[in-house]
Amino acid sequence: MKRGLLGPVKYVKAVDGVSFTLEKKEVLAVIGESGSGKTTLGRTVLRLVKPTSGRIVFEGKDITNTPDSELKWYRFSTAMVFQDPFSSLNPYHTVQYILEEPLIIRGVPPKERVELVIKALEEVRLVPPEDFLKKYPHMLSGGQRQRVGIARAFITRPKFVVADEPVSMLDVSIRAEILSLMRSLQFKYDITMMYITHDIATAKYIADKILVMYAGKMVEYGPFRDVIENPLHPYTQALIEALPDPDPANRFKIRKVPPGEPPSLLNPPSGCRFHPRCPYAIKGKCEKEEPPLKEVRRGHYVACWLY
Amino acid sequence: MPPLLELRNVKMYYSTSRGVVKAVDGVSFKLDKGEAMALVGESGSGKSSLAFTIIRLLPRNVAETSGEILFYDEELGVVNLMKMSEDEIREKIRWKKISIVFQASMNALNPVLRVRDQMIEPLVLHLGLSKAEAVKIAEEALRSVGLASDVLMRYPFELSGGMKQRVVIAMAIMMRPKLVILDEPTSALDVITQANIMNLLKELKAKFNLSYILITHDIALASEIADKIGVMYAGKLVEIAPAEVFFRKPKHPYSQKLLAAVPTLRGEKAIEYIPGDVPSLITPPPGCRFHPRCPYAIKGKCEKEEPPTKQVEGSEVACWLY
Repeated sequence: MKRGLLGPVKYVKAVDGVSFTLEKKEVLAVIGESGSGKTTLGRTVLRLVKPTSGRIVFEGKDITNTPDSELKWYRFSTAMVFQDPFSSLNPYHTVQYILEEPLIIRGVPPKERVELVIKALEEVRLVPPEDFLKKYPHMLSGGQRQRVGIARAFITRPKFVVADEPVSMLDVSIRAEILSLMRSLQFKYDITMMYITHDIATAKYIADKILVMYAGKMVEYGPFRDVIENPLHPYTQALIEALPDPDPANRFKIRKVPPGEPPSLLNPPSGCRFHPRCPYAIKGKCEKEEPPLKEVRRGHYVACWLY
Repeated sequence: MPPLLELRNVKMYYSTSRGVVKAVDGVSFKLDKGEAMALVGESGSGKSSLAFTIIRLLPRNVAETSGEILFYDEELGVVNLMKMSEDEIREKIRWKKISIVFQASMNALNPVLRVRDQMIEPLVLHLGLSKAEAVKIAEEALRSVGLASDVLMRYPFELSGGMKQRVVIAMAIMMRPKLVILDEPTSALDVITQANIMNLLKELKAKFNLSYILITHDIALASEIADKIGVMYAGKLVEIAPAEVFFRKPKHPYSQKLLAAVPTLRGEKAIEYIPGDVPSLITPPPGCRFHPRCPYAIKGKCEKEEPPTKQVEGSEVACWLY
């Protein structure tokens, strides 16, 4: 899939050749820093934007170029959980209306709607539900707002949910709870999920598979456990190395991480996009040619000249 | 030698239309020269308010401040920051002895000023330095944070997030202060950039013998730099201990829960979380503020009386279990 933004003759190659399959009930974690293209990938998969090239196939149906007017069925089977609990809920709507709206759009009768809303609030542990129905978003904490966002996404029993950094704006101590909530709902309702984040540690609690993105490119892909225990791509290794565990000995060590920051997507580096920061870059190769994605272990793919 | 910083029963309340917010409600601790302390707590614990109180950046609607904030410096002797006038703090303390790095500071950089002009502003205005002297100091500071001097002539929008944060840190250390307060310095940064910034902070601490107060909700991040961990809950300091002691044996039930709730990549761990919500600072729970969420709350005691701070096996804890 490629997506470009046409300005005055400039392309932002936000997503540049990403391929993967997601089985039903699977959770794929898409990991990358800001500017990696991961959010664009999420929005493209939901067809909120049209891909420039490539194909998106959902349940056997090719939805790549279907006009929006014919995509209603797809919209009704999908949902999104957003990053910012402060801007993703309409401040003029009550919690009740926020949760009812998707049901109203789908033509669910009023009596059933009320039952579903109550149940949804109970499922995200905003209890007693009656206390929350008439509240406005500004009356809720960040964690509570995010629960409403999750309830809104799951209330229509979608088949596929894209969660874009759902916990990164919440305190670390709350993240675990919200993640376990999403995991249990996903499990309960057989929902396939794409979990987008820059924090691999949170992905551990929810993901079956992991896809690591860098500057619009797919650099590593495979079962979560395998990739974390045996990270092949130097960037994946760096992401893992960069994560601190709560250990007082940390303050005596300097973390070995690559300097610099992810490149601009307008003008990415030639060859392998990670080469300017890569501790193992092979002179004459990495800066010239883009490495192809190879299956190095069973189900474990990496795009790197080291392999 | 007296400690670099000592807080004695510091309080800071501010008034709102809904009532008086007891943001800092009787906090005491000591910090030595060259020591780094992390103030850990969830949103609404009062940790940022405490940091601002130390450097006297009080909200306009401040209702009450009390207690002592003793700061020791060879030049000034022991001074009580609470009793200093605004002018004195501005001329003698801020930037020079104590500086602060705000949350998402990079967004606080003036977008229409070049880095150089932004950096020399406090030096020229507050400290009366000449422009030439100030530029020299700014250049030196940028070098300490790993930035080339050509950054001086750039505008903030030309810099990446990590670079902007380095500029802000450079500003904080350029006068070689004794204490740098950092309020969530890496929250807006990617994980690899975060690691680079933490490495930088470690290097600067060693090089200039800096003391830090790092405010964060991320206890794993705290372990990257802290010699001492202080846990805040609802305006109170519930536990303070040396890092090794804290991570090995956290005493307060809230500290234990905070540690258990951290998502970690390495190691097997089931998800644990703290049920309930952080209490209001306007009407905090009576007795021990954590009692409604505490699995060990002693009926008849914890909801009635506030526990005093006690020394327990190397930690200072405020909890009736001890």
